[in-house]
Amino acid sequence: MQSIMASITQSIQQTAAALLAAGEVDLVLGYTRGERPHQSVPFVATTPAAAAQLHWDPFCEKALAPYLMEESYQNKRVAVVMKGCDARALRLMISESRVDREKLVVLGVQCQGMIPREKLEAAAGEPLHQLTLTWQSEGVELTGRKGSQTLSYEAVLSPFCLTCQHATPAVTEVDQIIAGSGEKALVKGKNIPPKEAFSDIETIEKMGAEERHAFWMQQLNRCIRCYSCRNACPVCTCRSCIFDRENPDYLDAAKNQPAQHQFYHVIRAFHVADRCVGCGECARVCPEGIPLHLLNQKLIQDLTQHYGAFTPGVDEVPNPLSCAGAHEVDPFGKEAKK
Amino acid sequence: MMMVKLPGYEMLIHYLQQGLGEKQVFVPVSEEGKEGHVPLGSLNKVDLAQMTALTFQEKPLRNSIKSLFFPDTETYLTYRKEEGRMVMETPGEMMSQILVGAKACDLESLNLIDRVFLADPVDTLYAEKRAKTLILAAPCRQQGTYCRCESFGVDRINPAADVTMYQETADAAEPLYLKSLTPAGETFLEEMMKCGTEGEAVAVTEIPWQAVPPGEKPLSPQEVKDQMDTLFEHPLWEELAMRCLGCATCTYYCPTCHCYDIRDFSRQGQEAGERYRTWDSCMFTSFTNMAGGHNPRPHRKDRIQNRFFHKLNYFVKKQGPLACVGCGRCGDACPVGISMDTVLNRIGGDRHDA
Repeated sequence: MQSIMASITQSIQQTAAALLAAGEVDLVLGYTRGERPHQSVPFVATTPAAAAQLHWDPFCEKALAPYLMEESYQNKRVAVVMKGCDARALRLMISESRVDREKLVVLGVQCQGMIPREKLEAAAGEPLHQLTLTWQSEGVELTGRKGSQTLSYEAVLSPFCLTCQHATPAVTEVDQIIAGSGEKALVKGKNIPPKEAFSDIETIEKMGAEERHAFWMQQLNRCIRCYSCRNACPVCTCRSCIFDRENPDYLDAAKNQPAQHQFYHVIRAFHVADRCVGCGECARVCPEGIPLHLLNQKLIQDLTQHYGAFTPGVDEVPNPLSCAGAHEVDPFGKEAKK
Repeated sequence: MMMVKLPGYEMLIHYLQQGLGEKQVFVPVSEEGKEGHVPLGSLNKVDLAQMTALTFQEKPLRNSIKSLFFPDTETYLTYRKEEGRMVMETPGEMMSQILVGAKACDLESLNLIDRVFLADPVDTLYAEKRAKTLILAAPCRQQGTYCRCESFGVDRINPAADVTMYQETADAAEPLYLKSLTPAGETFLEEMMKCGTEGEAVAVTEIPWQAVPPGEKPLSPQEVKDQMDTLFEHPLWEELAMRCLGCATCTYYCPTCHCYDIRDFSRQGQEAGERYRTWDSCMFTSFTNMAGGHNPRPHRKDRIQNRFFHKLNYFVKKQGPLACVGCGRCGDACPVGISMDTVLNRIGGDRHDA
């Protein structure tokens, strides 16, 4: 039986080739296989023939929405392959007039969840290039030099995907849903409560102020200021970023100034606090492995507590921090003085 | 040349610990999965098994050794106002340092940076660190899975260090062999023999260690350069620009990238501050921003194209060799999987296909 991954791949390829052949779009932005084993990377197909290189599997982690704001994608009719988190980011971008929905063809994929490559390698206990993967209904079957084993999807899926409630984009947000057929594998075992998937938050909350400060100092001081977290984030969509300002430069470029790292990371996390779609890109792309997502997951928990449940990119705007009501809590004023 | 046999890696570390007051020693460590060199004196506990594994693994550490010679942030001078006058101070002389566990590609990357920083006008901060650092390197028995050192002409079996370290397997309990390649390396081994190793270090005439010979033919810098000259208008650069995120990860992890910016830092209201240099990246828009507002590389395409042309064309024209040592760090770290192979596969046929 064909796996759902292969069937989605085939469907993306056919849809992309048809759109390109009919001249309905100038390009299709999706994924193709990367150079490394079990790696998928962003890919742009501009001809029906190139559409055959489009690919879908649980390694298509990269959020594609940020590309739509890039110069190379302007004044073009673009078809884009989107997971649920990406489509939520797109909806925010549309509500903020960042992109023109009319020029887009959105192909929403029935996402099965993403598998971080390092997590898979650690769980397999073998280098990725030695592994052959087979998608089974009960889990992923790994065949390597040490033999075969089947790992449950819970054991290898990204924590962001384990907690995801919107894996497949809403039908109203897309032009077409690419559902695929076959083994409905990874969807099982999802919807683990965020508190469980991000249990580090509770651990950090329980620390004393000094210990917590020391923890974040140690984490943030590894920052090399490459800005990959900002550039990869699908809701970091300011056309001009405060941190790119040169005169005055609000952020000092020195990489040995802890206060500057804190300033950058606190602003980054707060700036997307009520817009974070929980895709996990910030943590995934960080070459120093700083758990940036913990800041945003904590902010999501706090916002829910103070302002009630709000799902960015799903619920109607305005987002909770984009408006203020007289009845609302004011953590910087009244509450802090209690 | 001098060859010495030690009972194990532990003896070397023990000896280095004794001399910590006079020298800063850097050893390979992996913290939370991130590998790099850290001061031996800063470790609460020495994990010998990990250190041995990292030293003799068949790939370089994730963080390159360039930051020990060219730190990401480095002070030129500090300034303050004193009795109505400006007082400036430059940093004092650095302590000598010993770097344990470099790889042949790391050494080659220093050779490439030397061509720029040690040429007239000499970069004194870099030159001081080069002169005051003794390097103990370990060869790679075979080429790493994602390494391209052989293609870039790096002799992974014979790193051009002061001392080379050999061990049959990456087991901390195995005997450790050391071979000096420079006068400084020989002095180091002689001193080690004299003190601290309690007669357990013995001179030997042979080292029982064998490597897999190189299997790939090195690229010709001239051919690559010529090929690149024909590719300036190639659609590849726009393709890469449509995928690149424009972050600085590749350049900051690259062992041969050496661009920096000079800045001043002072806290508001304080009549004091410092002038420092800090790594800069050609992937940033600000890299080529001119005072008048003009930017000669306005598009991401221009910037990513420049990065590869610098490595594969401009550096060859100016200096001779290719400015890549095939360590694979850029491909490891890139959030969207762009590596040197991405370009080489396109310009040189499929010889590099995995």
